[in-house]
Amino acid sequence: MSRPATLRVATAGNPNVGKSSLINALAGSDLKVGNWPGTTVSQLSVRFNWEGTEITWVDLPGTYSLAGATSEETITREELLNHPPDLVVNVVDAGNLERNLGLTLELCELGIPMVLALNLVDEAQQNGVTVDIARLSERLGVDVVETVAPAGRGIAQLRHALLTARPSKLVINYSEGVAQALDQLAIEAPGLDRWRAVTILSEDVEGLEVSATARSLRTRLEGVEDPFFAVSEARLGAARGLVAGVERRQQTGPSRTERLDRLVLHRGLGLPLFALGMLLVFRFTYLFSDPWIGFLDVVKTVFSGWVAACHLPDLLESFLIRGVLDGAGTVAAFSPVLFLLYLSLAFLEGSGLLSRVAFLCDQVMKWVGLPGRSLIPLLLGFGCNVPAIYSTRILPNAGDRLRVALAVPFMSCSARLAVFVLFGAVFFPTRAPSVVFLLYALGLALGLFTAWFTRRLTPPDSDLTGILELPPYRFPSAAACFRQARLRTRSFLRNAGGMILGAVLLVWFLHQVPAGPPERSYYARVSQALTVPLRPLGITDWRLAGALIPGFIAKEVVIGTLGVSFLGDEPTVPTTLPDGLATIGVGLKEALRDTVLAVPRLAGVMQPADDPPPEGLSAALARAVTPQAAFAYLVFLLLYTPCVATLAAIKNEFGARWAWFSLIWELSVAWILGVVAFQVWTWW
Amino acid sequence: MVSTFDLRTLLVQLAPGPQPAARLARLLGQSQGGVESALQQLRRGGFVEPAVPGQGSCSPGCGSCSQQSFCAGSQPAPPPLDLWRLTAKGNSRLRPDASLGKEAG
Repeated sequence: MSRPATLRVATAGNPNVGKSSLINALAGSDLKVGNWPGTTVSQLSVRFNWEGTEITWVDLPGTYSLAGATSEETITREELLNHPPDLVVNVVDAGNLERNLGLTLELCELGIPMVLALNLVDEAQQNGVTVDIARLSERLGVDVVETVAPAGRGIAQLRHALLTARPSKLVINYSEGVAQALDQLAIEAPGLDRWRAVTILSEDVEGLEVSATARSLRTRLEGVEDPFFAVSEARLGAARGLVAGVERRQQTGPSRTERLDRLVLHRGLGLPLFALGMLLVFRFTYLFSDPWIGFLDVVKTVFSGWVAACHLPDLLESFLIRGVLDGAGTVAAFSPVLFLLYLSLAFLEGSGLLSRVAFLCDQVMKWVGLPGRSLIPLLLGFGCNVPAIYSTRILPNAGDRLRVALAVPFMSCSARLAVFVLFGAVFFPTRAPSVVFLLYALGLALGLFTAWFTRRLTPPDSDLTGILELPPYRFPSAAACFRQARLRTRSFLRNAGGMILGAVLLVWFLHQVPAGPPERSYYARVSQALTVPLRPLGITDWRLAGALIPGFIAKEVVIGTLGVSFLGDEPTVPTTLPDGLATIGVGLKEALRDTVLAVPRLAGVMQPADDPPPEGLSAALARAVTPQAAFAYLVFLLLYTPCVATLAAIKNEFGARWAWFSLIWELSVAWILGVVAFQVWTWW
Repeated sequence: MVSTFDLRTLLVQLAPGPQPAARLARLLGQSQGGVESALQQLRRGGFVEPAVPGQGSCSPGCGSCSQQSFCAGSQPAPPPLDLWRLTAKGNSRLRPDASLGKEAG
């Protein structure tokens, strides 16, 4: 067979069927591959030479159909209609044939030469699914090749099949009305492919020309039946018929998922195991981030020393050290904590464990009168409260939605974690992970209490039917977890970094107005007034009270504000360039050593070393506040008013009245529990 | 190969509130893949939509959210929650007088 000099190929398929992996295996390229839908969100192409044939391979985004209005569908449709490739490789998940064939049937009707790559056959076989590819090929009228892209299985056969690709001859039997309209349209417009003809008779699709004849045929058809439903049902029936003829599903023994679920979802063991797992997550986050937070602090101190060595005017030096460097240092200090927390969450999400949490808590949710899936917004709230408020829309009942939304702000969002870690390291060095865990648990418990407490204030008639679905367990790839953690951390730094830096600079400026010592500034005077209601919590220092004000705008700003307030008038020791570099080198060495030592410490084999005496902000905090007051401050910080964005989300979804309720309720709960925490500990 | 798949029945099952595909499949005695495919057809027609907003695009109000760009459509998103609900068009399709081609919305 003669080979063409050039070949333009496009891959099309549902999301998450391994299209990009397949191209990488074929072309030796390095397209971005993910284990979730939507990895390819725009059209990508790769060029490679295969035994003299120059192949341009276009990786189209994953889509379920060609006619919808999503960006993925529009890109795929426009590419296939306006720049038709020489052939299409339709990548199909062998384990979910029926769902995948919806797009396959549309591609068949489009009339472009096609090869079907039946991918992920190894996973399908493990689940007892086998597909008769000879019969599928015969029914579709195109070549079908079994592939396992990461293992390179079927890649050679697929390359050869490209040379014999042909248009499908499959004909879908539509209803009588649609079939008659198609026949008439074929007479009027003989060049029209079947997909275009069916589509213009049944739905409105951007970019498709509709002739007067087609319009009149459609109007006539709509008088008899709903053409969209008729066409969709015929295609679904065709897919089902194909599957019935080629797929065999065997009952296999208890799967790995079922065996693991017997333990993880055990009535007695499940919740304690989950609590233990979460404690492990916090230990991991704390033990591995602590050395790097310390290192970043060393770097910031050295930079401050270099600035001090320049002997700049006092105000400029203060601006650079207490404004710019402290602000940048605050932003940087978030990154190790958040990266490790996100890494843990990526593992929990990817493995399927997070869904089990919702299942385990189903009963707990019912005790407070909420359906089990209410836990999903609450879990999202641990990342950020704002999307969590919007995700309450998954609940059908208006009352449930509102009660969960009122509970969400009690979930400790990622911005609060960094404050917990800093205070934990200063005041509870040997018990920091347990303190952080306790605070998270307290937030969850109070959220549930709020949902229970407000059940009389909100509309009743909750549907408590449990409908949680559990995905199979998978061991997520390290690369995918790292990638997700990196993207989330970067996203946080990009979005919050500028805001934190700006807020720290603003707080620095407010400390300078009017000129004089910071404790005479307007900012200090307002903060001093705030200490009055906070005295019962043991908070008498205006600098701690003041940090709560910008914390209302965004909790991320609290640490930066504390830095400016506590260190504003402390002299900075000048550092020479060689001394500074040497200090950074020593700091790096210690951070690496402590990271390695964190492994046995995580396993409990080795106790954490006694921390060196705190320096900088940590030392200033340790001098200013007792551990009891620090704990009460953390409780207050965890629970007091939601940030402005969260309040805006509640207002948008439920109205200003409920936003005010949330504000006052949380402030009251935070104050009461803060007082209780301080007084009980002091008395103890 | 004319279908016996009744899309209207699927819409009826969604009328009480959002449901995951697996549960719909059990209720209707269909395969999950078939129901997922049917839901995609209905989504394309504008009759249903994923129940969790912000999957692929942020909701209004996320202006100061530090995770904003993570949930934007330009970034890979984590696996979506497989919950579906009726749109206004889907609800109107369930009205007794809406059996033929002309849909509201």
